[in-house]
Amino acid sequence: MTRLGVIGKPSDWLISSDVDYKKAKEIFGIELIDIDISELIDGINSNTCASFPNKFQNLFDKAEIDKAYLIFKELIKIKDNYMLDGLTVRCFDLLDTVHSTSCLAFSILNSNGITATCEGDIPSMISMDLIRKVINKESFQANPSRIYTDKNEIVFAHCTLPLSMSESYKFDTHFESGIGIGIKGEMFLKDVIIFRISPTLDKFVLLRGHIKENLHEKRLCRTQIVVDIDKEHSVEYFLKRPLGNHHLIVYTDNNDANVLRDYLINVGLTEIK
Amino acid sequence: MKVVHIYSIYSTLHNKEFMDSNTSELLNSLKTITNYEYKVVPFNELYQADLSLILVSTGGSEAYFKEIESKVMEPIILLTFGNDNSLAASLEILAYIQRKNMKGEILHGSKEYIAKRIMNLMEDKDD
Repeated sequence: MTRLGVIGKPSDWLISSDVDYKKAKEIFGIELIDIDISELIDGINSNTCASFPNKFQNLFDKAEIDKAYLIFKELIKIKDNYMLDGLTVRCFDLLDTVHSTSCLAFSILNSNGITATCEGDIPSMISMDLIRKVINKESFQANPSRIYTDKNEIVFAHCTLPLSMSESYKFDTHFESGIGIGIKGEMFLKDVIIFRISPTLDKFVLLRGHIKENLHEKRLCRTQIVVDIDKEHSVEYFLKRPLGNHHLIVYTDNNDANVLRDYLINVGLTEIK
Repeated sequence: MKVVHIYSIYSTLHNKEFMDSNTSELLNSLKTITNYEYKVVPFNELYQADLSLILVSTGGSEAYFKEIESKVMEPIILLTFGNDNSLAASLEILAYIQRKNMKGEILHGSKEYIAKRIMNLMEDKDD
């Protein structure tokens, strides 16, 4: 049985991301454990002494790096206390209470084999956990941010790219709030899978594509990529029948898509094309 | 001239001035291509037109959509640009609508693509 923590409820804007906990257990063997967000906030605020490893110290304002480390440390503590395999956090609640963001913490957790998604997004967390369990890969939780219907291309962006998935990276503020630390990563121009399951846990989408370009725009979340979607799929999925907002991006160079698809069909899910 | 009414939803976290200039630019382009009149209106005037669109201007608009949900009429057409997570918000709203077995779609992409879909939707209404 996999244990995934839901720290705080899903963010208010995730109006289509509520999940039936019993179904998650029956279908995927995933136990979802609710944890009050105050446990995280109080833990961070009661701990003032922390410092990230030296390699980060010259990349950004030291005080911000140290605050990000406090969040990381507290998430590890909660993970250990509740014996979690992964977690999601209603992270925008940290903006006013801790005056920082959890993007760097998520990025490092994901780079080290611990599923971590933002905004309390449970379908994204389950999707990320499935990617890790079934094909043993890390993934990038991202917002579809722009679509070029004529070219079958889509821009994805978010501030939580796992450092292990970046060709290079630097730190910037988190996009929406302008505070804390967001990851401004450059991704490899490689083949990818775009994946997510529905909040109803009965459908999934799995598209293949290729990262064509990294972007550097001001009005998008910090890591930004253009994905050229394979001809067998259409970006119209996003405009006509999306399963929700966040999608997971996974590097692939083999049969990953088929393995993941077979697993999901085997446990009773239907593919949306 | 056919009239399209637009009701805008957005998060207060974002820059309204920038959004307004983006909206004006898009609507002027659509007017040129389609030869329809476009007006941003308060919610109570949204359906007093040949076609009604909800402009999702920024991320974080989703919770606001839920507040007007009981008053919106199908098909729910979500217009969005591609900055400030407006597309992301539209995806979440459309997924929510469709879970409730309501009809809707997102208008997004090039101005030409959006204009073409608006003309198609107008034709569908006329049929």
